Amino acid sequence: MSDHRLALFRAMVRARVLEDRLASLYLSGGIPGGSVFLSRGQEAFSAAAAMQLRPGDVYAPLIRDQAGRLVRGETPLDAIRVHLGRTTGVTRGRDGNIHRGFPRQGDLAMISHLGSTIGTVAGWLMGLRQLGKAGAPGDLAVGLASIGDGGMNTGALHEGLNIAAVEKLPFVLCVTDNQLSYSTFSDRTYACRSLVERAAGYGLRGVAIDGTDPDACWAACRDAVARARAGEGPQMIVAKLLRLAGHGMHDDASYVPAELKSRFADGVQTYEVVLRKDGVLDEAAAQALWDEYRSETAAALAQAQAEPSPDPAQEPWTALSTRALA
Amino acid sequence: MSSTYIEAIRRALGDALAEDPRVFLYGQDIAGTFGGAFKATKGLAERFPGRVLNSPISEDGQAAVGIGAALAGCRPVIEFQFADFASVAFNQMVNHAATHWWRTGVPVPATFRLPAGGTPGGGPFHCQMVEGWLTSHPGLIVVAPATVGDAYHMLRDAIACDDPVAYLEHKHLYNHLRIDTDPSRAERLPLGKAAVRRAGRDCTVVSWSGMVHECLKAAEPLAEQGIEIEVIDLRCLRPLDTATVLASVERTGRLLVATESWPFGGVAAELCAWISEHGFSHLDAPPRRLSAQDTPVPFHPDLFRAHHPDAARIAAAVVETVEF
Amino acid sequence: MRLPVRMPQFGESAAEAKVVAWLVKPGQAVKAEQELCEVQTEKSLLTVAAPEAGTLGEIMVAADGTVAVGEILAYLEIAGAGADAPPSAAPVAPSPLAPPPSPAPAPAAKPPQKRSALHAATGDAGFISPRVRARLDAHGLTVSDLSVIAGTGRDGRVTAQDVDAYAQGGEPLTAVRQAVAAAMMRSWSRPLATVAMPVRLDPLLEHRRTVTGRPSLTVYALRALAQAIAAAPTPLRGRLVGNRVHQCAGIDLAVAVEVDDGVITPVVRKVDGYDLAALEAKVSGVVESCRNGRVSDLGDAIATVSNYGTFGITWATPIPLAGQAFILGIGAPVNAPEWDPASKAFTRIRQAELTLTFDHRLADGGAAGRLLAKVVELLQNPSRL
Repeated sequence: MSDHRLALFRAMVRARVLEDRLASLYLSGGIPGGSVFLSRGQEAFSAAAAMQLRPGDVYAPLIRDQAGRLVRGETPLDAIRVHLGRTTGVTRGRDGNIHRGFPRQGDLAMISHLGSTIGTVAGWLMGLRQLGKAGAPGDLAVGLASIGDGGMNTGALHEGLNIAAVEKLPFVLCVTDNQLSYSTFSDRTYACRSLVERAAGYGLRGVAIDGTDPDACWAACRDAVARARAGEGPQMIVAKLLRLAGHGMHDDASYVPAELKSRFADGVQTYEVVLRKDGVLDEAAAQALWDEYRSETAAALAQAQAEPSPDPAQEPWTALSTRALA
Repeated sequence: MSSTYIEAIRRALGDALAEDPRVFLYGQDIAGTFGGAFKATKGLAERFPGRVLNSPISEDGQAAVGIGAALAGCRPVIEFQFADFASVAFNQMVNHAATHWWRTGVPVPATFRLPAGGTPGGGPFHCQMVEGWLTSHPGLIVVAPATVGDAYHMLRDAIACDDPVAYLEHKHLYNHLRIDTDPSRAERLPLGKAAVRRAGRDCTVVSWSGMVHECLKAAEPLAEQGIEIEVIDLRCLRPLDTATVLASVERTGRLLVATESWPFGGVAAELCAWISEHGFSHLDAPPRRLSAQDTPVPFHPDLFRAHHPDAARIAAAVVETVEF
Repeated sequence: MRLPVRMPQFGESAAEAKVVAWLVKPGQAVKAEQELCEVQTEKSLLTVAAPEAGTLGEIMVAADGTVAVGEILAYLEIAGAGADAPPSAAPVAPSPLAPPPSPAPAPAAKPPQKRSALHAATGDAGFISPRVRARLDAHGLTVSDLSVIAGTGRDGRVTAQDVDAYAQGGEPLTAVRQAVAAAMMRSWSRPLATVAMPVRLDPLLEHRRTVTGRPSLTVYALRALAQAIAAAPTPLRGRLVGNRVHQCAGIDLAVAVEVDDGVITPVVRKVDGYDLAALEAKVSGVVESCRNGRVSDLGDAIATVSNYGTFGITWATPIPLAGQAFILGIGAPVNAPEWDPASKAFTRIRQAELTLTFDHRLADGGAAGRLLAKVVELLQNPSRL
């Protein structure tokens, strides 16, 4: 029991430390372009979901999934390299910040158009079926995709999710209802009481949880992924929480009332208190953990900063992989 | 053995399914005994159970499935019922599939079949030639076969290609174009190369897809007047084989590009601009575009026929260009 | 009246259909829109209905037969009219895109009545296409050559092929002539003007007998010109490069020497450093070398002296080299009358015309005239040379 709780907490802290460092780097002009997008307040749900996956599964993270990405094997160095546009990064400076992934191992590189990866995950799972690599019920390769309350209203999400349902795919949609589409509150973006009501419309099993409670996130994700793996078809989890940051570091989120903020706790802080109360962690262990990730991030940043930026003169400037046509 | 253009497409799909277990087909109304709105997949669902799948009316979702399956290791062929409806999947094709290799180093070997081009009575939403908006985005290969042999080979090549390919098949050619041989034995030209369909010395006439046949039709009466046109079938619109066109213009000094698509921007405009830029000193007359009217495609057959170039208008434009 | 019932265009792509069964027999009365026969297209089994009420006449395509879109399936006999309907009564339009083997309709074979707006804007006369320009360049021709090329294009316009044919005629120019031609073209690109003045030669002819080597008229002229340039500043000592005048440091002058098939212009450096005898020896040596094919110095010089008078020419306007501001020409000596106010009679003298053709951008007629007058004055007073 306590093993997974400690691992979950570690993933949350690791993401928090990394993102805090990227945020301060942004404010000091150390990020060459774009913004830095923080998952503050969403670490628990992101990590809990990714922790249910295993090699061979497909993962489509979104903007605020630093914790889930780290769980899947990304390192802070990988993330920093892409943020700095280094040639050593997976996008080699061609794309930045959150538009990164490891598609060969099933970790998709999102595009900015929300909902676009839902059908892609469905297609990946359909592809595994075609190739005879989908596995047997109980052992099915699972596809897990993130979306927010904003992305839930795109046509792409609807089409992709419906296809996943029609094909009865082992698909888990993790909906983070952080109440904000950039600056627009959800009263202007959906009209049902909870987004989980939509699950029935697609023919999915849906559950709603408190996204600020890491243990609740863990339980729901474990159950949903297990059901999908068993062959029960697509699952939807709607986690209600509040985005505890701006849309990106360029946004101070001054449009979020203080009263609302006061009602939503920071899961990283509250979980540390809970774990210490439950004896999973003492003060020294907690401090050691934060220190460990701070040094890890500092070392990664130092390394990435010493690495080269792309040279436009060396760029081949072709978007085709087929050499004969490039 | 003889084959129509649509039979060559069906044959290519069947051969690809038979030879490569990674191939599967996904589209609207393509499965069961129905076999697609144009019967391109007729009989394939029975031959290849579980590999010819009907989709909901969800073009964006279909394209997304193609991208995901391609990344998983498949060679998916996504059929849009009409090229016009592929506009719903525009984002997936140009932002997701076309950028993927460049962003991540992992290519997306998906094929998108787009039944394109005008047929009488089809109207604004069933007749479009959509290469204009597909070719403007880097990372997507766009092909438009004009012959039965190309319909077969270019579809096989598209499926074999590691990059995403938009395969524009002309609906009017489906049943109106036939060869008396096995299309798989027809000449196979490399993807990305244009073909000189008729040699001539006086004017280079470039087209693709259905319009190639109008150009060839215009060649005979022009020859009787002593004007020999060189007809080039581009075959592949992105990348564009500018070298073949330039070599021809070097000989003829004149260029006419005939297209069923609209005049603003697009392949014809690109080609004329490219030749003006790189072949200016070969020109005896301004490069000329002959395009469709700058309106949606009309429904009434008389309006429809007046909407895009035909052999007579091509011949008249050639005469003007030669006499410039 | 017989009304043809044609195979309709069912669906976007259908080209033909197979008649499955006739639902009505010939002679049977049918209502408008009554089903006549079943046809199987590529896509569907459909029925063809009667366009009007009447009696089914002759069936043209029996069951199991194949019919192309637009072809006649059968005829309907319509009451009330005797004659057949014109064949164009209700034709399904022929498809605008037929496969290549099908017979082609005759397109507009005649040239269009109206030319395009672009064509009108460029005008008929004098249009030179980019291709023709490129061919002219390739052959070393200019636009002015077009007037002598017979044009075979529209309205006699010169085509690229005409340029090629013209350029490939005749004999190739020798290397020397090509060099002369190029040099002259370069020089000709600037405004040139000529001033002239006669020089009395009798004192000079007397004087040369007293000098070792009996210097030629050319050597006298070189010496006089060098002294004239040294005596007073002249703008013609400069050379115009863009908008800046470059001054020649020494008094270096070239001499025009005829060789096989052309003229070359060897340079004598620091002409003012030679007296007449030494200059005669120097120039003779240079000319001899040139005629033996050994060119000594073809570098920069202020000007050239050309004794075209050796060909019997009394007056000419030679073109200065591109890098020089002028050329001094010497005409053939002639007998001339001179009015002697003392004897109140004409006397015979020896006289030649001196010409000075110069770069009018650098100097005007006054400056050129003053320089020439100084040369004449020195030649008429050879003891000062």
